[in-house]
Amino acid sequence: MSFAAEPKNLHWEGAADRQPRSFLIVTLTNTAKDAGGLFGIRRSPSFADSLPDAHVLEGRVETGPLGGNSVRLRAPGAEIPDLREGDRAALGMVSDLACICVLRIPAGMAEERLPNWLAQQRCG
Amino acid sequence: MADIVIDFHKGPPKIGLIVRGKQGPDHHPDKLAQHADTILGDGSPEGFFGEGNDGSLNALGLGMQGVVYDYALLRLHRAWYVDKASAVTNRVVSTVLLIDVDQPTADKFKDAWDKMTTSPGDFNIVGGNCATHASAAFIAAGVVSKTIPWMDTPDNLYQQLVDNLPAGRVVSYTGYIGFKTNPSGGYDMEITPYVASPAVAAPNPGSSGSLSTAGGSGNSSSS
Repeated sequence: MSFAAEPKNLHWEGAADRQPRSFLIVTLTNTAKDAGGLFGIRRSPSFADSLPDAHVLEGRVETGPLGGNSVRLRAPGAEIPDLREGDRAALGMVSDLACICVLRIPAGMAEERLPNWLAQQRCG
Repeated sequence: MADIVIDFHKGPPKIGLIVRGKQGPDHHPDKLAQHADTILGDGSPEGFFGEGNDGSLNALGLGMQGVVYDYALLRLHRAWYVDKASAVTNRVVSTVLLIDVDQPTADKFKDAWDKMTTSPGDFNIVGGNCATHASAAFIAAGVVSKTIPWMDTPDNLYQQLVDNLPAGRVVSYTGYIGFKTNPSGGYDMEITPYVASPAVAAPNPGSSGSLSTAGGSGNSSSS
C-alpha cells in the first residue's frame, strides 16, 4: 500500500514591488474556499495567516525541481483568477515557498509559447 | 467622494486606531471579523498578530507567538491593510480614529510599540489579542487610563476612545486605507471613503463573522 505525499505548502505574500523570480506551472487538482478551522476561528484577521476570502489551490507541478510533486497554496480570493480542477496555473514565486501571484494559463497554449507568455506577465 | 490624504507632519501630532472590518462609526463587526492596528505619530501603521498553527491550542488562538507587523511586514503579509488598491481589490474596509495628542504622548505611544516589537510575548484570542496590545499602548501613552471595558475587541477599544476623549480631539474616517511614504519621513495615510450601498459589493468580512463574502448584495464568491 502506498500513500500520496502531503502537498508542499506554499504561502502567499504581497508583491511589495517585486516581480516573480520564477513560476511554478501546476495542473490544478482541487480549488476550494478555505474552511477556516474549527468554528471558523482561524478566519480571525488577527491571526497572521488569515486572508480575506481565503481560497485553497492544490495542484501537481509539471516541471522543474518540484516536478511531479503536489503543492498547496492559500491565497486571497480576490487575487485568484477563475480556476477549476484541471486548469493550468502559473504561480509567481519570489522564493521557494512564497507566491505573489496566480495566473491562469490560457487553455490550449502551446508549450513553446509558454515562456514568452510568462515573460510578458506582471504581478502586483 | 474624493480620496482623503492625511499628512502626519501637518497640524498637531496625531496617533490613531484602525479597526479593520468596521464599516462606519456605528457599525459593530462580528467578533471574529475585526482587527486592531494603530498609527504612530509619523503615520507608521503598527499591529499585533498571532502566529502558529501546529495543531495545539494555538489552532484555537491560544498561546500563539505574538508578532508586531510594521509597514514593511504589513506590506508582505497584509498588503490590503497598507496598499489602498489592494484594500479595494480585496474589499477590506477599515474605520480609523485619529486622536490629536502632544509630542510627548506620541513619543510614549511609539516607545510602547517599540517595546512590543522587541518582546511581543504571546498572542491569545481573549485577553492578549490585537486590541489588548493596542490598548496597552494607548494606556502607556496616557491617552486612556483603563483597559477596554467588557470584552477586549477592537470595536470596544474604538468606543472607549470615543467615549472618553473630547470630541474636538478625535476624527473618524471609514474607507479603503493605504499608506505612502512621506518625503519628510514616516507615511501619509490615504483613504478612499466607503459608503454602503446596494450598488457596492459588500466588504470583506461578511456578516457571518468570518472573512468570507457571505451576506450583502453584489458579492462575488467563488465558493
